Order: sequence, then C-alpha cells, then structure tokens
Amino acid sequence: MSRNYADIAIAASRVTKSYRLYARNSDRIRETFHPFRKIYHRPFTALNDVSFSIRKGESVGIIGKNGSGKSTLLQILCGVLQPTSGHVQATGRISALLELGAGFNPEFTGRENVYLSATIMGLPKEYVDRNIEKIFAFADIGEYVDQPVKLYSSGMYVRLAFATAISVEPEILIVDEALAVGDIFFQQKCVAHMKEMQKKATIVFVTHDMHSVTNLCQRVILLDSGRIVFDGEPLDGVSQYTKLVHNEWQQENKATDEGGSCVADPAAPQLTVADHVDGWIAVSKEDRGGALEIKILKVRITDADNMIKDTVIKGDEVVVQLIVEASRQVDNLIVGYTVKDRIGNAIFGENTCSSLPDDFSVAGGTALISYRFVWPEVYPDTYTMTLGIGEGNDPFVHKIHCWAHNIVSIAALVPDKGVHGIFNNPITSCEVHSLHPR
Amino acid sequence: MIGGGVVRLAKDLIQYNEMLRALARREVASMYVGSFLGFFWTFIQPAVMILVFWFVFSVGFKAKPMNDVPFVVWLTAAMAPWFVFSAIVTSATTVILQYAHLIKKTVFPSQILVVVKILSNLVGHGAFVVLLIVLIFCNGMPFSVYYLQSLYYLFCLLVLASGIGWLISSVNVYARDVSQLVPVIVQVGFWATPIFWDLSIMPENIRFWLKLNPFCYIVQGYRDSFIYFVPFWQHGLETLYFWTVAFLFLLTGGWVFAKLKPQFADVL
Repeated sequence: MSRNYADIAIAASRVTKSYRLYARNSDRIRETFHPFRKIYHRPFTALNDVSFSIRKGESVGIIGKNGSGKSTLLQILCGVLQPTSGHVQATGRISALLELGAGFNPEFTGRENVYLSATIMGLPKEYVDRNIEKIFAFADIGEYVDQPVKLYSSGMYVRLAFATAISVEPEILIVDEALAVGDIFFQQKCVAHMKEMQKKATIVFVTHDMHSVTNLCQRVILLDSGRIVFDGEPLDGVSQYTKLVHNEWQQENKATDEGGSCVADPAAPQLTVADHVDGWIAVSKEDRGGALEIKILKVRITDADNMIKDTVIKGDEVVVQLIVEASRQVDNLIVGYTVKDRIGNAIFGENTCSSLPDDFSVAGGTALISYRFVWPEVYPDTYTMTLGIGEGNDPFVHKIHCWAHNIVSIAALVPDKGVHGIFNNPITSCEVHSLHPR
Repeated sequence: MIGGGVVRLAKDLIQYNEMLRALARREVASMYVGSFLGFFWTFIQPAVMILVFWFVFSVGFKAKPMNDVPFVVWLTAAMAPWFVFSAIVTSATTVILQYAHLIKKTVFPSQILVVVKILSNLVGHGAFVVLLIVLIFCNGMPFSVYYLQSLYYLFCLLVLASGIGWLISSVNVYARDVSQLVPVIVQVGFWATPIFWDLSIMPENIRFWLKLNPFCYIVQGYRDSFIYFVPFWQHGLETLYFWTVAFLFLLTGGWVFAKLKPQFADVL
C-alpha cells in the first residue's frame, strides 16, 4: 500500500460522524463549557466507520438512499464538516459544488458575483480577469452579465453559478447532484465538461441518477445507514442499490399486508414460489383494461436468478411473471408486453403468439405465468412496461382479456457509449476506396 | 494554549486578506446598492445626527460649553468612537448567521467575518471623523498633531471590538438570545460611558467604578486627541488597565470562537 501513497488523492480512514441531538439549542453551549463535562445530548450516527481511498484521476460516484449519509460524507471530504472521529486526508486543491450560487447576492451584477464567488473559492483576481469571458461564454447568459442577478431566470442563475464553480480547475472536484441544472443543452455541455475534467482531476460525486453513475464513474461507493455496503464496479453497485431500495419497499409492503388493508387474493401467496425476494406489484382495478375473463392480479420483473430487476442493460434477460385469475379454462393463451418511454411512445414489444410456435393454456383459477425476453440497446431512460394477456391464435385477430397498463418502471442504462436515437442500429461494414489517388 | 486561537486568527487574516477585502467592499457596497445618493449616505447620516445635537443642545437647551469647548464638538468627539463601536458589535452579533449559506456549503474561514464587519464599519467612522474635524474648524478651534493620536485609540477600539465580536458572534449561533441582549447592553453602555456627561461631574468615589468600563478610556482618549491634546502616556494606569481588559476579551473571544467554530455547520 505504502508504495502507492503518492497516488492517493483522498484517504478517509474510519470516519464517523455523529450528530448530537439536543433537546434545546442552549444545551449545546451548556455542554461545551460544562466544568464536569456533563452530557446533554442524544447521539445520532450519520456516518459509521467509513474508510476508503481514492486514487488520483479516479471518478467515484457515491450512491445510496435518502438519509444514508452521502451528503454528510461529501461535506466531510471537502472540510465543511468535521468528522467526530477518524480523519480525512486530501492531497490537492479541492473545489466543492455543494450548492450552486451559495455566495451570490441578488442585488449585484453577474460580473460582481463571479468575482466574489471566485475570491471565496480562493482564486486570485488576476485569474478571474483572464477567465471571466470563458465563464460568461460557458454560462451563455449574453448581455445579462452586467445586470443584477435578481433579474435572472432561475436557469440563468444556476448556469452562471455552475460556470463559476467549474472555472476553478481543481485537482479534486466534489459535486453534490449539481449536474442536473439547466436545459438539456446545458446538461450536455456539463457532462462534456465533466468528461474533459476526468482526464485531469479526481472527481467525487453524489447522484440519484443511475445513468450518470454508470456513464461517468469508474467506481461506485454505496452507502446504507452510514456504512459502506459496496465499493466497486458501477454496474454491480447500481444493482446492489436496486436491491436495497427494493428490500425496503418490500418490507413496507409486508407491513401494510399484515395490517390487512390490501389482501388481494388468498391463493396468490401459495403461488409465490420464491423466496426471499418478493417484489410483487398488485394490479389495481384502474390499471386493468380488456374483457377481464382472465385478470392479472400481480406482476413482477426479475432477472434470470429470480432477483428483482429495475435497471437493465443491453443483453440482460428480463423475466416477466404474472399471477392471473381465469374465470374459465382458456386454450390458445397469448401473453405479451409493450415498453413505453416517459411520454408514452411505445418503443418495442411482442407477444407469444408471433414469437413462439407453442400453444399455451390455463385452467380456471389462479396461475403463475412467466415469460422472458432480452433487453435491446435503447436510449438510456426510465421506461414503463404494459403487460397483457389474451386469447386466440392469430397475431392480428385475438381477444384481449387483460392489460396491466404502465405497471412497472425499469431504468435502462447504457454504460460507456452514446445512443443516437431511440435505439442504435449497428453499422455492419465499412470500406474506404480511394477515387483519385494522388 | 488559550492564546493559540488568537494566533491562528491573526495568521488567517494574513492568509485570507484578499477575501477579507472583497467581502468588506461588498458589505459597504451592499449598504448603498440601488440607492441614488450611494456613498453620500455615509456622510448624510452622521451629519444629520450632529446637526440635531447642535440644534437641540446648543440652540434649544442652551447647553453651556464644557470646559470652554462648545458642547456639540465635545459631544461629537465622544460620539464618533461610540457610534462605530456599537455598529461593529451589533452587526457582528449576527454575522455568522448572515453568512450561514457560505459556512454550510463552502470551505469558509468564518473567523474572518468579524473583521469584515470591522472593516466595513470603518468607512462610516472615517466620515464621522472628517465631519468632526470640519466642526472643530467651524468653531475656530486649533488644529494639532494630536489628532493623529486618535488612530491609537481607534486601534484600542478595534482590539476590544474584535474580542467582543468573536465572543458574541459565536455564542449567538447557539443561543440566539445574544442578538436580543446585545442592543440592550449597548443602550445601557451608552449611558454608562461618559459621552453625554463628564467624569468630573461625578463624585470621586463613583468615578473609580465608572472608569472600570473599558470604553471610558477610548472616549476620553478621543477627546484628548481632538480637544484637550493630552498624550495617552499621561494616563499610565488607565492604559495598563485598558489593555489588560482588552487582551482578556481578545483571548476569551478567540478561545470561545475556536472552540465553537467546528460545530457551526452542524447547527446553522
């Protein structure tokens, strides 16, 4: 380890942050100066024995549920908060984007605010003189630079703040969900700038956007209740995160089930073949459409190993499971799915009738149906799935018994590359012929 | 060990001097931003105040000259340091809260904020002193090199104000009562300090207790510099006493501030 010591940008060792919760604010003062060190507080641990080191040039994403300690960790890394125990060592100039425009005064002009924020970030005036035009160009606020920032639109305000903050050229950049500012073009500019910065700087950032995690980071640290529960590859981290979120969701659901508020079908629990991962979504009356001789009661989406899935990448096998209730015996059963984007465009879909030669049938009563498909490479976004069940043997003419509309959402990730439209269509070959050789 | 806080603060002032000046400039500018007369207000406010004093006491009450000095001059010489002192102390009380957004969200040396308040309030003090000198000339009183001695007393004032500023600004973060208490104390302090009255009118045995107020030294010093032309070393005992008190405040303020500072971001 010691031979790599010079390569380490940030080393956190056994960092613990506990907040002291006081009944009254004045108790805090009483405790600080109490001659016999009487204790007035209840402790609350936001970070618990967190250790890691980040190499120079590495881009690390910190993810976790709300309240897992992400922001506290960032604040400790950049020195705004002091850890209760343990210590952080950072080598290099740090710039922290914890809140955009923190130092802006609405009465002053954009130019004046840029100068003051830069001073607060520790930049000399001459440096700002040289770079101010670049900052304004990046923020793209035109002639408003000499207007008071109170006249700015909120978009202009954050753009100027962001442009100022990144002008520092730090060796270590610490970002707290600051990338999601401005319109789509500005976001693209920010991402491009971040990628440029990755070449020179160490970047640590907190985000809830799983796509930017897989896209920008080489490594992910997953926090849960103030502890590191995962530290490694972004994709693995994201899937761990998904599990965490689902476990919690499932526990909450179980709790309501025990309350007896929504017992949909007494037969269904027996059919729940698996296991420790539950994750069934009950389909409500409003979400159903069709003739309803067969009803979809519950659905869930898992991977091939029966684990709940809500993020996918190209090539992943997606398993759709339905618990249905049929009012009679149905032969020529058809099941299918449609995947829609945020604004409801159907992007792709299929049914068993046109995919598979087999015939399926279901007896009256409840049944578990599962079918699988492979996720194609589509634009990274959050999609919803509509699942359906019908009857017939013609792909065009059949009876639809039940649709479960927009019942599950799933986030598609595309690490390491761009998608140029709704989906990518690979180029199959390429040749170059010289026409007029010199 | 206790002095360590003060030494670190002094080092920070040098390290962050550019930020210090930028923030102080901004403080001054923000007082006048959006107003038409802008910087002139710095003069208008004390000028009107002095005018009112003159009208009320010299014209209205026909106040007798104090030891052959026109009452308004005598009063203004003492008002000048009190005015800036109370402005610094009152604004320093809430300065940490005022800059909470920076302390919570950036790596920010909050210890310089009290000094920012001091610097920004010095502008108004400069205006006050200029008006005082104009007033002295208008009354046909002599000019003297002793005027420069007021800089020494100003320095005394700043040291005292820094200590008190650090103390109350940091405590106020935890107990907001301080910001209510300070104006009250400033009010009482105004009347407990020989500004409107002269020490000589008090009985001998009470005078000793009144001199324990460290600001008494500064007020007397301003009058010595602009009116009586008495050098400060003629008040050896008072000087010694003042500096003892000022250093006690400075050390306590520095120590308390350094002790409370790490938790600012947790509380704000």
